[in-house]
Amino acid sequence: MRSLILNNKIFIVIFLLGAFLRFFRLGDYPIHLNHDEMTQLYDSISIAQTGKDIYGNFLPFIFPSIGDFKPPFYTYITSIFYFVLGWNELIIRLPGAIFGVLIIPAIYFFTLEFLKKRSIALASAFFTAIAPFEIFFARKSFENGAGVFMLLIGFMFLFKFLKRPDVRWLYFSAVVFAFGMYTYFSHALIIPILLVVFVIKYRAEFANRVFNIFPVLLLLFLIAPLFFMILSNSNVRYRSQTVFIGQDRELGRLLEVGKTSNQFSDFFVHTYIYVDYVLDKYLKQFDPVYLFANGLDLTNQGLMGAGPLLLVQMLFVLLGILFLIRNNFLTKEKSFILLWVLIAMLPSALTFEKHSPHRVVMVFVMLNIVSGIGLSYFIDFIKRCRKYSFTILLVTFSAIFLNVIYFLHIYFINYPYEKSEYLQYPFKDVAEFAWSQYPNFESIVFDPSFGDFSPMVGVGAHYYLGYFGHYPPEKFQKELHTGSNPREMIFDKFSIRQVYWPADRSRKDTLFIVSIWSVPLSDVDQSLIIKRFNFYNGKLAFYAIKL
Amino acid sequence: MNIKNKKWIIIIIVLGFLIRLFWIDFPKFTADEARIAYRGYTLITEGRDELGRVFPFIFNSSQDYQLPLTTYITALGIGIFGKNDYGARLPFILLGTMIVVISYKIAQFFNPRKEFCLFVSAIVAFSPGMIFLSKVPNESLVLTILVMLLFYLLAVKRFNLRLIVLVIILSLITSKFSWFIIPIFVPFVLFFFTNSVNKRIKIRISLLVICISISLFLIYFNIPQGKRSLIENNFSLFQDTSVTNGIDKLRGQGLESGGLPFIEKSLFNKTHFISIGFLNWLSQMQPYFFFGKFDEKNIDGFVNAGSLQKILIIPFLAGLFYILSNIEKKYLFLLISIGILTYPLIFAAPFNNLKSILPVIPFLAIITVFGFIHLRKFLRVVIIILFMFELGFMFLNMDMSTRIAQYERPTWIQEVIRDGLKRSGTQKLAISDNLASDLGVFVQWYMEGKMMGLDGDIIFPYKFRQTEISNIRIISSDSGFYMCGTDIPANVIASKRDVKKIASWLNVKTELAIKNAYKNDRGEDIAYFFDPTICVH
Repeated sequence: MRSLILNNKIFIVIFLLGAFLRFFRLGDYPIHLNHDEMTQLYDSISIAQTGKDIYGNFLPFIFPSIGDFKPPFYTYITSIFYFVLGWNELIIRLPGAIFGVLIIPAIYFFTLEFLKKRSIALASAFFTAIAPFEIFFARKSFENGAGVFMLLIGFMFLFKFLKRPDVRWLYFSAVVFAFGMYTYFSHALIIPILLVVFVIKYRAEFANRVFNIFPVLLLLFLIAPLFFMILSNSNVRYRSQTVFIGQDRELGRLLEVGKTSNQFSDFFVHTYIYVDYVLDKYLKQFDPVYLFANGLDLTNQGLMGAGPLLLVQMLFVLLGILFLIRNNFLTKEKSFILLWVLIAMLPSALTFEKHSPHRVVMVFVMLNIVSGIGLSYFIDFIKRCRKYSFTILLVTFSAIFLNVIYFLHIYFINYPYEKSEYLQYPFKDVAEFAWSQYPNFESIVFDPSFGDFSPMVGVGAHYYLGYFGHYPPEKFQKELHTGSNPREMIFDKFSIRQVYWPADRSRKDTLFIVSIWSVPLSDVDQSLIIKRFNFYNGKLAFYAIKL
Repeated sequence: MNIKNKKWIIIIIVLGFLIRLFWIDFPKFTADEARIAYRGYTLITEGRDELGRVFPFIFNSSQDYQLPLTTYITALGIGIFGKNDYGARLPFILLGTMIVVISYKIAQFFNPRKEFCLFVSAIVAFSPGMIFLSKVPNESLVLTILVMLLFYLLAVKRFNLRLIVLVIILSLITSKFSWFIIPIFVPFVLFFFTNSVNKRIKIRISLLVICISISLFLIYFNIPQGKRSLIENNFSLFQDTSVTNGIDKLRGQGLESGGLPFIEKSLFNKTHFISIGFLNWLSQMQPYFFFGKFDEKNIDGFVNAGSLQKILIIPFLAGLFYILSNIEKKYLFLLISIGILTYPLIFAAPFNNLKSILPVIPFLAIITVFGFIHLRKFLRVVIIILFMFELGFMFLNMDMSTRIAQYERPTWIQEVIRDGLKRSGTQKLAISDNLASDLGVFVQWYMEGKMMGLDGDIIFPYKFRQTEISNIRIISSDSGFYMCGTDIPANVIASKRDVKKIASWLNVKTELAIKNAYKNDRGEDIAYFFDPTICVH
């Protein structure tokens, strides 16, 4: 044991560093559960207690949630944590953080099998431990981390099989890949493509092994229900449509301008515009500013933010690429890395958002490995310059350290100030206050239209109220129904809806919780305001009116 | 080499020329291009610019001062072909075609194979970015050809000192951008690639170009508004308040959260200007602009095209792999040149100035062909077919480019102005300024003959906009309308904004008062003609 620790002390330090960055005050940062976390949390408790989500669907394959139809993996895995830890906000963040930590050894062993050089594996694990996107997504209850973990493990088993032809590795990889595909819908598309690419790339090695169909059949058997549900479930199709590039406004504008008088040319022109737009969008994903400077969208200060990768990593990514290009070995590995990046970037190009870092985590993972290659060879090179090697390495690691500190500052300090509204801050305070006033009013009306700069609707408000009121999910399932007012959801005394003040101001024995976007402060008698709720930056988010 | 050997390059040059000549009036001019064209006309006919100044050196534009070479080239074209599209565009079409020839010659320096050079010239000849900017008066194209010519004269051709000095001087009076790139580019080429002269001459030329550049810079810095022009357009990074605000805000949040002032200051300080400038440069060096969309605003490029065809990204990447895996001095030049020719963009943050990346297109083409010739034959054929398909679609779809940029490059403005002037005869005409950006220059360019606005009193016209041109008045958003009484009424071409004003202020039934409605390219009403019953103040 002692020798195991001593032999792997650098890896253990990296692992502990990664674990620290993921678990340090996990319950406090991000400062508030966003609506994705909240909906999955309450649904997971509902599943654990009743076997149904809050809308009464029995063990759903896809969760209607707040109309965005969420993949099932994360909700179900959180249910397991609920059984262990009970009614606790932290349980929603634990699976993400745990997989976020497990990715570090996964990267290490995957890289070791893949590139067969320990220093590269260590450097890749190091970048994985400190990369902004890894920390950011691991702390925000994101299911993609689990999928990436399984993807890496799956390929590691495949490499092991190529090295030692033991068919058990194939069975393991089939199971792991299948699980990986269940975690996130885009994985169901990308993992099979990567597998096909892998088999083609390493066809010579596979040809030397005794062919065994059973692992393939096992994989097909395991993923058959997934594809059956994807193809047959209208909600999955709806989800795909709502995020598909067809919803992109700019594309819509181009198609409108590109209209011609002839039906045939219209079809031709529209097809071309569509394809061209997708290609443009695909290229845009390689914007270095997005990758290294502000892609995580943690601030409102333009280029001063944090990208999925550290700014200093740009140097090592370039060095890694240069090394791969300039060396004649690793031919298959080189093209596999390239194809991995090119293929895994596709989902972001096919969806309506300008950039979707959460859909291309696999790309960033590979770029961490490429920067690991860069760092490893940089260190090897510097070691040759004996006189200055210490100084250069000191400067290099100081730069990395400073960059990490900068990111942590942005993440822990600036992000809450700049983006608290996107974390649905202060819905928790609102919900807790509403419950504290429960006995004092006949009804409580909450209009979740809010925003710091412009209004948006917090569509998960009923989840916040249900969860923070410790409202039993079974009762919630029975009580929850839609009302006659615009976007109205009703349960118990609560009505979550749009407030129309000229009509609502005459109601009696009612607590209204509204923002300035639905009821301007000037329209309300100030003496009736019994509580104000601020965003993290101190600006007014909601206020409570007692009628 | 006889004609037979040159047949392919001749075909490419002729095609390159014809493709630029095709649909001569596309794209319609922006205000700045129309201003250059009209100025060229007044200079060649009167010896004065549009503001009445005699053969000036510094010109006006909507965002900056402008250096003279582009204007005088336009004047030459208009002198030969008259005040029309041919006159204003042909000089640039010819310059654009010349770039094809020089690219061919420069390609020989990197790889003497004929096939290699032909492909490079073909890519430059059919580059969407090059084609677009070869059809309008602009300084980026002029600078591109001068940079290419400089490299050719310094590194490829037999050393001709006089010609080199002439080209250096010409490039330095083309655009301010050149003051930053030429003093580095010339010594770089001289010391690393020129073999035909000794070190002393190299030093002399380098010092000469540095001295001229610094002198021009200092002279410019000291003219009225010169400093402002440099800060606003070339060093905008340093007056970008969003950076300062960002530093203050992020640091303030740290202090409010209990952070130590020392740490906050070391994390958020003025060094961010460096990183932001660098990132701004990088953001313009991304594949999206090279192969995706040259101009996101659709003003300075085809709507569906980058500076090169999208399909060329495959050979470009292969070329990049090739030159990185065979690092030779020559190949390194390509990469360093791209850096030298674009580095001033670091200081231009937060603005994108994609026209400035035009001089690197020939270098990108060379890298692309390095990759192309190493691809499998099948893939090469596929790339050529898709290349032609993209090119074909780009031309078939020029209408879309026209429609999408209709505010910045209005096609309908010519008809509106000419019809308005015809209807008004000798009477006063007032036109709403929000019909197009900087409307006055369109009036001057599209009207028959010339109409001088001023008599040369304004010596340094920085961002100057004319609001009175002879008996034409430009109606601004501050202008008002009244019933004339004893005052002389004006014919009015009003935008929707001013039609609303007329209707509400004067209580006029506009549907009766409007004599003619003009439509834009999308068939929407854009402007309305009123008979002379109203006065404008």
